[in-house]
Amino acid sequence: MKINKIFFISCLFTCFLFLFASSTLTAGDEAADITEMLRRLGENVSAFKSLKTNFVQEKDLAIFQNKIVMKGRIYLQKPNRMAWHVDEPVKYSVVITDKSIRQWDEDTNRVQEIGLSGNPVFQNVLNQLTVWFSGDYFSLLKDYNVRILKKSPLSFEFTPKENNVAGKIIKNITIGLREDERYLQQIKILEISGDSTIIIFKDTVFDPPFDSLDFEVKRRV
Amino acid sequence: MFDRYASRLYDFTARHKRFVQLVLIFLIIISLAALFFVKYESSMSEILPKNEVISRSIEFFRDSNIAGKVIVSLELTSPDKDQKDLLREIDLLAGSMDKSLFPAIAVGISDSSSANAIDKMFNNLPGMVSESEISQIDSWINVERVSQKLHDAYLQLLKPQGVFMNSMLRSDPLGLRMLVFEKLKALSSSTGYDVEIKEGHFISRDGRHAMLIANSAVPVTDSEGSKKLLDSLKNNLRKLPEYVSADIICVHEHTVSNERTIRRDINFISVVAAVVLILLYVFVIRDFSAVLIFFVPVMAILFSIVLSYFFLGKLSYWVIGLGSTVAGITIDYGTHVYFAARGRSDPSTFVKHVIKPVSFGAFTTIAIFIAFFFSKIEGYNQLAVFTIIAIILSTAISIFVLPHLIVNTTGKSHFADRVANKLENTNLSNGLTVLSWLFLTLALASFAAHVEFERDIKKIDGTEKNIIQAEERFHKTWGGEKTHAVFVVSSKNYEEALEMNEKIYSDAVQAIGAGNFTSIALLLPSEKTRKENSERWNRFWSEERKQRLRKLFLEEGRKYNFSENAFEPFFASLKVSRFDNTPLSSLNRGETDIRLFERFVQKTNDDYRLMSFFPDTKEYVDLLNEISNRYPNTYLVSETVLSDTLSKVVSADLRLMIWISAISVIVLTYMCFFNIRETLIALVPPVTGIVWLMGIMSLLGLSINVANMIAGVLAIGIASDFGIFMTYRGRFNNIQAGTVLAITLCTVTTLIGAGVLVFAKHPALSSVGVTMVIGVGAGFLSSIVVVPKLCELFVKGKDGRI
Repeated sequence: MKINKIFFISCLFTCFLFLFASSTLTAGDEAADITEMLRRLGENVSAFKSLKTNFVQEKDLAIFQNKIVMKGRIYLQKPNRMAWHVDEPVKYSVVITDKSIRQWDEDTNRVQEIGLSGNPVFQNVLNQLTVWFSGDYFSLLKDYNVRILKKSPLSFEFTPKENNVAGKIIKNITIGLREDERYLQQIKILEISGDSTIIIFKDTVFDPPFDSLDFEVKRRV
Repeated sequence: MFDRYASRLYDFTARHKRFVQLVLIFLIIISLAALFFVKYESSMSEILPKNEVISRSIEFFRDSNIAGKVIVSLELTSPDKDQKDLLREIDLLAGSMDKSLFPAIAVGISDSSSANAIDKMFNNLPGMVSESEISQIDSWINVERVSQKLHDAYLQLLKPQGVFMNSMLRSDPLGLRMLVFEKLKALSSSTGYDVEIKEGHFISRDGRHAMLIANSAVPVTDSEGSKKLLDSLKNNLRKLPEYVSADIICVHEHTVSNERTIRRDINFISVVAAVVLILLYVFVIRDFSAVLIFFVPVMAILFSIVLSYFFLGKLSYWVIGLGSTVAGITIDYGTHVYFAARGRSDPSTFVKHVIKPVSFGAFTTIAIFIAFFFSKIEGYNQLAVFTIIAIILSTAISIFVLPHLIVNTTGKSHFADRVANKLENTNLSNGLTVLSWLFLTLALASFAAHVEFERDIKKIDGTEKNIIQAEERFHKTWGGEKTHAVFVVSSKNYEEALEMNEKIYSDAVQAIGAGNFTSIALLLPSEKTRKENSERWNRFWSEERKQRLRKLFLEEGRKYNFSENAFEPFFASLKVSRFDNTPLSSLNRGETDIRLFERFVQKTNDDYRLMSFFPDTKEYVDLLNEISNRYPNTYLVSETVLSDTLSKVVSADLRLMIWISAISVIVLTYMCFFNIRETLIALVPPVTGIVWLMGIMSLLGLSINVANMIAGVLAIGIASDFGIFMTYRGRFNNIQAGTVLAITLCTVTTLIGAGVLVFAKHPALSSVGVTMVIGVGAGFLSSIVVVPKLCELFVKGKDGRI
């Protein structure tokens, strides 16, 4: 049942992630500017092969009594490997590869692995996450309208296009880049309901040496 | 009496030969002109027996767009290229394809349409949840379960995907939508294909292949259209970069390939057989007028095409093809008459002598084809008309026209005459040969009973190897080798179809288990069930139960920082819902092109079809057949059922035809001799032909199929001619009518034609060749080595010898 639940959740997640699968430009020069900027950005960001970054995630959701602040680390290895380790408020890890998704949390202390074979939903999750974190923002132009909010440091707002199913939930997604434009500074997701999630990336290291445990879900956090 | 009238007619044509020849020329001209008005059909459906199961299966495949699908599998061949390159190429390919030939093309599943369909189903949850599922939900309303669910929800919200789970968890904290999702999952797992969806595209598990599925505007039976369609597609594929290879998978490939193989085989066979026959006639007969023998069946076929079309109103290509092959054997009659007439100053005595055996040889062959009128295969009925006309005309021309056209070669000693004399005077028939024949025939008879009818139609499919290899590659990459049988519910009324589908699902699950029967019934319940479910749902969610659950969420939710109104959207959705009677959208009715439920719901011109799938095994087919028999307008489409039915119907047909043919041949042979002993002797070659043919086929592991069945009948017909000729020769052994040379030459010519066929690439043609060689060979051998000795022992010759 738990697997089913995760499968279901991931399915929906995938549907929503299709949101990120593109965007279009507004018009005229700005459109050309954005296209050019996203292409340049893609080139800059795609320069790394692996990445390690700390993050702080703030969830301001009506479902929770209080705002939740999470701290943890993301490890990314192109093309298809990502680890998401959270230290607080609860310890858990998610490792996604091209073959499977492994999850662990301290409360249950159980490792759960879901094979991607025969599981197109998770395959899509992986694809979309890879796009999002690896910086291939140019490909997002298909499904999103993109607006430049600020040129220095660079900041974009992605609004789901009319036929994009993500538009049912997401109002917009704002990404802010570091000064050197090599990676994300923060992502803010604003839902139609008014709920929001902000992820702030800190101490990003490109092409770091990895510990063999970095891509293990049951590592010591 | 027969002899008297035939002689008079011969004398009449001899006296008026100029007039007869002019009439013949006139008829040839008229028939050639009439050929332009004959409309030919290329449908193969007439080659299948008239049977409800077979017709329904064929109709099912014709009306559904399953058979008309064209699939292209693209493969990345260079390790330097990645999936993006592959997806770009498949998108470009889809965009470049001719929309008039491929009206609908899909390279993946549209995210938005799938999401909308899933959304719609979630919204219809009250109408889709069954009584047992309501009980299941009831069992979830307790502290342990709620606490567990909230803990899971909390963790989900903190995970990367949690960003997108918020509103879903608020509106469905118990995971009720999983009930729908499980049903969806069951549907997708039933396809047998191993497909992943990446970036909205169909991708193989190894990530190196992408698939395109197109609906074709060309029926698979239209060979010209299929050629055009494939040419167009191959033109598009030629534009692919070198790092991408493509395999085409479709029935059109089989249609075109079969035709190409047959054409190539026929060209090869025609050239080889013509060269060998010309050499044979040039070196053995050495008479230019012998060429006329070839023209006899040609004329007969020409007249027969026109007359058959006149009588039947339609004519298939395959009937003409097969009928012409059969008519080709009538060259034997011309050969007999030729050898009786050649080199005679007054050929009439000799020709009149062979009129009876030639005519009765023709009659027995006709009798065999009369049996085809009793076949359930409409094409065989047509074949009978065509063949009988051709045989009658060919025999008439051979007897009454040909002798008057042969150049008088009196006085010259010919090589053929010397060969004829030698053959006539060489006695190969003695006690030892008869005993050997008897021993061999008895031995082969013990094997003959074991020859089987070929159930697998694919065994006579002449599709070229490269296409089969492409299909093997496709299955290796994408799976789907095992085909499922289909349980079809058909109705003009959509709601009626849904209702029946539900009942059948319930029965089928009891019979073979839910895991073996994939049906849309659970996702598309009927209006009646939807209404019942909705009412039950409303009753279940009483204020008391909702309050109890709300309290549980509140108390357990505090542990995970959930707010008081965290799950208000869920409780709002539980407000008494009015039954939604809106008809299902066209998407769900499968009226549009390539859609989510297309496999399960289809709209044909006349009705709605709901399809369920199950493993195609005999056990399941039998069990579900029982269920199908209880419901009108339902039927099974299964390869197993189709093969079995085809086998049963054709076997029954074959048995009936054999009996009718056997009786007809025996009666006609008796009418030729009016003597039981001579009749029995004359029947030795056809009986030998049957026994040896079936015995050797059994020994070689060959089986009877739709194609070689006709060849077998034909071989028996030829063998029965041999029997009549040789027994007739035995009766009048003082008349040297060149019978032995004639039947030797007939056998040699038949064996050349059939022998070349053995090497045909097309398995159907090859099996025809093998059958003809064995059947005619056995008939000839027995007529040469057995019949003369039997005649010597039992026939009282007209010269007074016994």
